[in-house]
Amino acid sequence: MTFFWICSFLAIGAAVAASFFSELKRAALALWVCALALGGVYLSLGAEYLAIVQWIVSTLGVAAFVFFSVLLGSRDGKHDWAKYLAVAGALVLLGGIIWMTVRDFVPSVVWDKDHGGMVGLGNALVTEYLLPVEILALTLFLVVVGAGVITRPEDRGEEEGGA
Amino acid sequence: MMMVSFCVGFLGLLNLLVRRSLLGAIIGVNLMMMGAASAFVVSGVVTGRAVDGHIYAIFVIASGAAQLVVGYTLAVRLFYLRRDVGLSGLRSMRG
Repeated sequence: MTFFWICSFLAIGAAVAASFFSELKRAALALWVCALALGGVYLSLGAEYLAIVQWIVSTLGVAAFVFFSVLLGSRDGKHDWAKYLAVAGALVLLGGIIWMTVRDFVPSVVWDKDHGGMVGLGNALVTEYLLPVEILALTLFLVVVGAGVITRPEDRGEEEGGA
Repeated sequence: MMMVSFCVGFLGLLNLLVRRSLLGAIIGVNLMMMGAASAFVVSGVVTGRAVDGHIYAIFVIASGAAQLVVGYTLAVRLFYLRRDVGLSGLRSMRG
């Protein structure tokens, strides 16, 4: 349980940092730390496969984010009231977490060892959840194709037609 | 344990509200997605249906990856149109 709480505090601290940083590259790195810490939370809850997926997806996503923030502009302005609101919200959240920890308000965990683990997850993905997985794969494919279509320069057809 | 998911999701919402650029908003939405995924995992573990929670969390993470692609696409398109990735510029993409 100690590992769970260490990762939880790290995740919340990194999320606060991601909200505070004006420099987008630093905010992206804080987001990466938050994702890694949440992977640690998954690991402590017995979700090893999910932790690995979280680490891989977040690492690739943050790498792409750093690339785009360098390409399109790396600073972000904020509203004037945002700083005070963010400080107040973060303090309330951290106070709530500390209070919950001190009171040891941890629900009873029911470990599903018979049907959990990688084998149960794999069986469920190829039997009960096969159609949602296929729909998800199709959605990801359409998103990638749509992204290619939307980012295509408008004058390409005119140039080809003119040539 | 669910409080951790709530905190991450709420900070993402806060981030989404205070940012002025599209790339900053992507960070907020990503935080909200991570909070939602961890909520599914925690609830699955607590209720004894861990596999279902893991699978829903996988769907949320994959949807988050798709959201990242859409966000980057909009940012690139917005930069083509206005040379700026401010959220206020999204109105210019209408029609």
